[in-house]
Amino acid sequence: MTGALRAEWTKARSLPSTGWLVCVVALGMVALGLAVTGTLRVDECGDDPCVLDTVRLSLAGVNVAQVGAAVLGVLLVTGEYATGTIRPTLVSVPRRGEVLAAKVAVVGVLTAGGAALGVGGALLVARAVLPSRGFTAEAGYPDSTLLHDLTQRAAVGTVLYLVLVALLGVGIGLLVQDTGGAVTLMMAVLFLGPVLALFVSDPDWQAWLHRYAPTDAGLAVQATRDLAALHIAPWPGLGLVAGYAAAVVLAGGVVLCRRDA
Amino acid sequence: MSAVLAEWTKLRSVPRWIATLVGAAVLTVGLSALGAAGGTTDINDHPNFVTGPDGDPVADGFGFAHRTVTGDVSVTVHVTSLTPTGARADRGGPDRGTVVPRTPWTDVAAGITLKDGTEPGSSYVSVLLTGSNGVRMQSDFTQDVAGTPSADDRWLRLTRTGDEVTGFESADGVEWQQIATMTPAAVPDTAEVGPAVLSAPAVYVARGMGGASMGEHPESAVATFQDVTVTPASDGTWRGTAVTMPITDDLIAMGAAEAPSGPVLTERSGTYTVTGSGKVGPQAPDDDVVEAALLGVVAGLMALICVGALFGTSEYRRGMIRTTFTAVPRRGQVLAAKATVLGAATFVLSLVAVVASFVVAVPILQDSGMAPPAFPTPSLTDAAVVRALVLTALFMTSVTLVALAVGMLVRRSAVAITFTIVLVVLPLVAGTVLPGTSPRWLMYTTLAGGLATLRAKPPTATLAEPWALIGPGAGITVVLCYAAAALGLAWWQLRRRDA
Repeated sequence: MTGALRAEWTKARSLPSTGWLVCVVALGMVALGLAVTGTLRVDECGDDPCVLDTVRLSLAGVNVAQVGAAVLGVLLVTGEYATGTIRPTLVSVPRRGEVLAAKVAVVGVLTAGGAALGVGGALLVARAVLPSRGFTAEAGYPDSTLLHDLTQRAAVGTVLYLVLVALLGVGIGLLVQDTGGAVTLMMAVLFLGPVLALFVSDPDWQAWLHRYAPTDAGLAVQATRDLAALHIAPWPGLGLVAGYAAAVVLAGGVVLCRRDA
Repeated sequence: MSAVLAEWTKLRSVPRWIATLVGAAVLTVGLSALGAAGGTTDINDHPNFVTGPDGDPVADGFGFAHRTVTGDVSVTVHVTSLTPTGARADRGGPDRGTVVPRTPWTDVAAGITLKDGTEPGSSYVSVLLTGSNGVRMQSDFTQDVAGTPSADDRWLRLTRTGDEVTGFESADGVEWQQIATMTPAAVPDTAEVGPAVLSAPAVYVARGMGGASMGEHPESAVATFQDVTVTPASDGTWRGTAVTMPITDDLIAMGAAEAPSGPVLTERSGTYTVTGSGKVGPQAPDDDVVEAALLGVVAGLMALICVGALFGTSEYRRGMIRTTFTAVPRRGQVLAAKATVLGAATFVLSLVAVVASFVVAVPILQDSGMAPPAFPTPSLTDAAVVRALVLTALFMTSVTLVALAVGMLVRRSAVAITFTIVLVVLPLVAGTVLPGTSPRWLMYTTLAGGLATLRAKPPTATLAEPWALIGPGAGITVVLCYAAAALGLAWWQLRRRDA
């Protein structure tokens, strides 16, 4: 197992795309978070009484970061099929389950590292920026700190969500084996739910999409205010995404074991 | 020409691409039908409208001081004041989101109306002095002609000759200028005529955190009229009637307010004071049947982007590009041939897909409630429907060409596909997360704006979907600019770089 892990790690770190994608995960979190918090004004929200979920808005960069995580997961699998290295890989580690486990571990660690940096950076940036936009303790917005359990849940949950998205990418990569197809499918998985919810005017269908689409369900974990309005509770939402990821990775594993490489 | 033929051979000989192209069309139609079967609306069971003379949904509520006249008639009034009262006068600034700007149909106004009785929805013709849209002449909830942009007190005149009604305005009651002549659909020989005052509800939109919420506040206005003359002089007294929309318990439960009570008309020594509340104009819902029928376009588009990008990048992956450039040394020509072949194939497929979606999904939508009178049946011969379908196909084609150009530029399919899809969908997701700030500028600057082409109805700020904020012309312009810029950049790099 150690050998398989080291092999996967060497393959991952020697690809230039890996570094770039981890950067997308980390910098996407920080940059989009800054773009959101830096343009926010405390008096801008509609309904009163109105409280903005500043923690969730600071972590809005997850919308970009998840793209990096998804492509990272896909490329570490489909790249092998495109270049043909999958054959030497399977020759040197004949137990294919071990290859899959090593890939999952490497992708998970890489994504978790980038995501942790990004989430931490985004929260720090928000903490520096938000008071100047009027979100002060007097206005009902105490500094977001990781000591607060809801903020903690949002931060940890976002990292876990990004890891799960990357694993979904691994699974879909194994199923499709083609970079273009797998990347397109991942984008559809991530974005089709929220976009279709904009089209559908029936509130029941909207609620159904918000509850079961992976992005909306998984990101419920970011909520720190107005929890009653969520379509799915934070941890069950993330659990649902974990279920999706597990199912797809298992299906990918079955394909890997059964199909010729 | 041989370059075009070569590219066509490449495109059609990859079974996976052909399958994906056809799959994109099937996905578009299938998802559109599925989405249409899902949503239901009960707006026709709980209408917030009445039907106008042509059967379309309209709003009809105003204060009417009227008397009965028969045959040819001319009415003159001098509007000396027009004052909003109630909510609008009290409110300093918007405190519940953004106020939707007032159009000629949703302004505060005072003038003369000639109408078939006082039933809401009946045929009418009016000349009106509005609060911020100048003098208007309007008829039957659809026709609207602008007079002068005057906002001061104004003399107005309505003259009926046979079926034709002509509106005039004047600054002093001496020199008159004609506004327009209109023929209302069904104003009978004996009709009601006199001063009218209307004040449409203020509409507030608050958007953010995944949706838009809309609120309405009923408003009212008071106007004073002097020198009210009817020729030929007819006897009879002026009666005041508040023309009101039927209001049901359902609507009150949903937040609608009943019209304020109180005398509509008071008269003192020749000065008539009329109070009115409500809107007279079209009241079609902003939701769009055509857009709802094209729900699958986003999914089909993702598949098209995949093929577009691969059509560019796969030549590099397999080293085929060198053979291609040896055969056609003018690289600009290769790019032009690729764009032509892919563009033509995509446009034909997209057009078939959107027309099929429309044909399949509209009847399903009508079954689930998006039916007349609230939603008049759209037809494939309506100019707005043809525009929406053709522009949507052009939008899908242009985005596919962007993917091709980005693919030729970066030579990596993962990057090209991700970049193009993200440029379409991320602004939509971001636009719903951002509170307050209008996502309009995102629509003007990214490929997401192209989704505006799906709508057959005019732009509106009252819906959750951010692309409804801009018109189809602006949307397709943004996408065409992207396609031109991306292809130009690809052409320039292709000539400069090694293959």
